[in-house]
Amino acid sequence: MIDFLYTFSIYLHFLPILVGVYLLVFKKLNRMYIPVLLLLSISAFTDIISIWIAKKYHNNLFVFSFYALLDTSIIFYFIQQFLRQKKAKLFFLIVISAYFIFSTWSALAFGFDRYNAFQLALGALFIIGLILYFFFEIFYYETVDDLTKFPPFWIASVWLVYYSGTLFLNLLFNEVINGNLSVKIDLTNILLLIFTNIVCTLSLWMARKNPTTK
Amino acid sequence: MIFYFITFGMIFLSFAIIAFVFIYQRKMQNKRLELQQLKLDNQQQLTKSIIEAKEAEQRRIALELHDDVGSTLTAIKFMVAVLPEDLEAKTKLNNTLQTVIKKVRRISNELLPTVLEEFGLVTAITSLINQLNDQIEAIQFTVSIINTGSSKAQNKEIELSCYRIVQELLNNIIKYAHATSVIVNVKQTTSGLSVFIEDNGDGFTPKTHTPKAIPTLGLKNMESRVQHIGAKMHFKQLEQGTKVSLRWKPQQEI
Repeated sequence: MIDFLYTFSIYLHFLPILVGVYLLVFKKLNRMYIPVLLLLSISAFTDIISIWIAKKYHNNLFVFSFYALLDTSIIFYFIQQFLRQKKAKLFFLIVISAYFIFSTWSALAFGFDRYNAFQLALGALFIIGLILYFFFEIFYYETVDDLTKFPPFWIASVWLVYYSGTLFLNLLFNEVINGNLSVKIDLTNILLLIFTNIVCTLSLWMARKNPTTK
Repeated sequence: MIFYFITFGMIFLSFAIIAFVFIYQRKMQNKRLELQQLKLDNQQQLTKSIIEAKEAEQRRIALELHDDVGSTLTAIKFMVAVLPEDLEAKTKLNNTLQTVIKKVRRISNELLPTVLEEFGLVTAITSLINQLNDQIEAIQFTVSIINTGSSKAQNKEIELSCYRIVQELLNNIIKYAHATSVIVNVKQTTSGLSVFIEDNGDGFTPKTHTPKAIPTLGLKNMESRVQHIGAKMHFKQLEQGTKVSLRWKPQQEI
């Protein structure tokens, strides 16, 4: 059952990608949503390639390290487009730069084929912090008239749920691999992934109503 | 077990934050809309008060001119007629007085159109067109009336506002449009009132005009009056000239 759900969740990545590409081709989607499509594409690609790598080399853990860097930076790029406070943008840029340096040092110091739970948890915390600040700006500047018609809010919300839900999964992943923890962590991740992809699809479809170019 | 507890706790917390942001933002938005509506209502009330005060003042001045100044001038005219002096000088004085009396009557009529008060909008517009035809030779004014009875809800306030708007529109055509022909269609039925004014001038719409070309005060006054009575006014630029439509229906009355 979990295997089926896992395969389903990977292929479900293609639903928002197809919807987004379709809208982009017909110029019905604002270009500011390209990072979302890029992130979904990378996510689908890394998931598929990690299965292949795991089968061939029996270790695909280094994929996670690269993926953590990519998703953190893409999410930062997407969210910062909606931030008004320049100082906050600069702050998050400095934090993400430090995160890049730390990740590179960590990979070089401890090896690429190692699951770095701390690095992934830091990335998730950065994304959670960024999204919470984004919500704060929505409050503070009152720039959005109707949140139901503001797709970035829903995309950010679903990311918040996903990264909050997988924060402890990331931290405890080594324990699961080593068999010290008998929990079905995969199921939580899979369900959150399915939920994320469905909400992203709906949000991109919702975004088609405002096809202004950036 | 603790893992699930913490994970679902985090997910629940995320949902709670999202729900809080969503609900609170909606509340704020509703408050903002209420505030905007309140401002709009206040503005409308202010406009209404300004128009009413202006009309009341105009009425007062018109009555003063008609009843006091006009009567005094007429009395002087009769007194001059019986003066045993030079006949030529007397005739000159008489003519001048006659001109002044006419001017006072015209100003009084412009400030408070008695024909509107007594006979209603259709007759007042017809009278205005006739006056313009007499005064301005360069423009041919034509009026066409369809009158199947005035609406019960149609009151003097609405008639006066419509009359002022038509007056301002015609005034603008005379001043700026360089037109040679103006056609005014008035349609008054039990379900409402429509006025169409079409000219063959330069062509104009409020969106395309610049404040330098035409002063905006008249336009703003018209807009205020239209808003005040709950009517709709639409400008359409033609190949040559402009067509303005003014529509009022009783159900639109606020």
